[in-house]
Amino acid sequence: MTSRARAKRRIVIPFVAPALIVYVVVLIVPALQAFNLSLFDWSGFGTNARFIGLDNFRAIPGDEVYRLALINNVLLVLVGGAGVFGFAFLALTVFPGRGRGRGFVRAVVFLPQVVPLIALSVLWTFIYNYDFGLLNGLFRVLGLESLASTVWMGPDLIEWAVIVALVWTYAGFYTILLMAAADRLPPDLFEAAAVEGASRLQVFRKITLPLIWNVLAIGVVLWIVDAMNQFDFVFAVGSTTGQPRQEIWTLPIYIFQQAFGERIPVFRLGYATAMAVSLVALIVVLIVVVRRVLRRPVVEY
Amino acid sequence: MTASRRPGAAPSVRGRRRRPPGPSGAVGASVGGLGRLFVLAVGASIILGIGWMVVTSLKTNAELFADVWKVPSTPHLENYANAWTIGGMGAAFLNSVVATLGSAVAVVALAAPAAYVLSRAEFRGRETLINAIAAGMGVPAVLIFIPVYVMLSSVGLGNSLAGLIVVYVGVQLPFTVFVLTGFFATLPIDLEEAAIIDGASEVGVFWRIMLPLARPGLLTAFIFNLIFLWKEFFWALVLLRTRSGFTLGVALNSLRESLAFKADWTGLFAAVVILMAPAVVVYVLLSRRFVESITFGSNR
Repeated sequence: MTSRARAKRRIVIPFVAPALIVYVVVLIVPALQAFNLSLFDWSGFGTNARFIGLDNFRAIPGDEVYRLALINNVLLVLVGGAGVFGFAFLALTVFPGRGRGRGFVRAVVFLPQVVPLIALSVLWTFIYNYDFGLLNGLFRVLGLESLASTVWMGPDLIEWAVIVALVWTYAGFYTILLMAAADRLPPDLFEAAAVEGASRLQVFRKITLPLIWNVLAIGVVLWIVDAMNQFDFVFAVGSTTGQPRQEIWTLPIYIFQQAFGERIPVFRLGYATAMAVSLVALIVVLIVVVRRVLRRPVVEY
Repeated sequence: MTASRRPGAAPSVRGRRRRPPGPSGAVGASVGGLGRLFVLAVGASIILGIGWMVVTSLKTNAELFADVWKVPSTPHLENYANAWTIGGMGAAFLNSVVATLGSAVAVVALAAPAAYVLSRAEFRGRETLINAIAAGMGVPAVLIFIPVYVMLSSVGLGNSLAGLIVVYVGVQLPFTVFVLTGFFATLPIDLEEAAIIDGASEVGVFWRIMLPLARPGLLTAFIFNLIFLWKEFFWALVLLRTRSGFTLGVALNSLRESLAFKADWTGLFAAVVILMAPAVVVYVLLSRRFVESITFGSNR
């Protein structure tokens, strides 16, 4: 080892330590405490926690609300995922290469990503409003009276309405992610395809998609994390009472509500944490499965 | 796939000759046209939605319910005055600025030296440390919010902006270290060596040579943190319990809850615009850099 390398090694600890300390204190220690807390019955600050082993986890399968929230999470992952990636695929297919319109699409579809979700939930609450909402108003203008009297925020449709709004919000991020990968491909691939008269769909399916497959796999993992952790939008949309609408609860909402989300807090802190541990386990399992399903040999070009 | 897939010799294109032409004629063109129209319509709906909120925030509620699309003849700025003062958005704006700027500065200041040695020094356990820090990106907030709440309360930082900033710095560190490690790794090593030969200390090399070189990366990480933390809602909701300490997201949330008593939609949209405008303006000014930072950070 050179003296330079040795001298450089002496600054490692002072350079890394401050970041590492904050990281360990804010993320790692609480994460370990959470696994511990999930084994306790703890009903609030100032009271004693009682060790109950895995009882919190045993209570989960019989919990109707947990099941409802989990179904909503899974719907969001699957149906929302189909919408998000369907839109991204469409955008890449109809705006191939570095053609016109792509710059506009890139700049605009990303915009909802920088707007706080709580702001978008206020917008969508108004869009879906029965009496004076923008959607029913649009149908009225188009003469579609039967559609114009749809109760979008009613118990039957609200989950689907939320998924549509979230696809609208998130599609841009995944479109940009895939477009950035496609833009790094050598342009002569696309020129050759154009010379040979390939259709846009063929270019996307046979050239673009196989070559950006790795980024797609990363995108799917990010979507699973986004969808399983969805909180902000669902917390506020369609409700004017302060409490999130139970038909659309996701697991993070239920976990928050069991801890201190209610007006009069429930304070089931051990159970809430056990559910959070189960959520992390679900996310890890989903990611492992998806990575296996999406594994492909790397395409060279 | 093999190395035969070279530019200009894409097998898929060659394969096309063997098959009859696909739906590429007039039908394919019109389907493609419809597809483009749909994508552009979604794009237009985004601009329309955001623009509609701005227009609506300038109307009276009577004007809104008379015609939800009509642009008001005179803008009613009193919606903003009300949201700012009575609605508490003014105080919340200041809190959001402090929390966002303070956290973004702190997280970049902590992450930059760590990322520098993680990418450019040789020591045992370097890879392990990089991976251990990257793993922090996968810790969901709902897992740790109860222990964090208890911890902050026990050290007197519960229900405070300072506590929120500590959390923001912690949760944003893994991503920021990760991005900056990648960035420092791309910088040339010659300048470092030259400075050492000229008698600079290791700290001096970092401070006077590498940090200025890394400025584009630091700025990207800083802007990303600014926009991300400006949007942040969950931690603020968990940690901030009194109105005077609210950031914009939580302040807007409590205004939204008051819709049940007072259907002041246009006032609410003024509050929405106050929350949304700074992030949108920063994005529009710096969109290219911001989009790059997102896609770069996600290519892990």
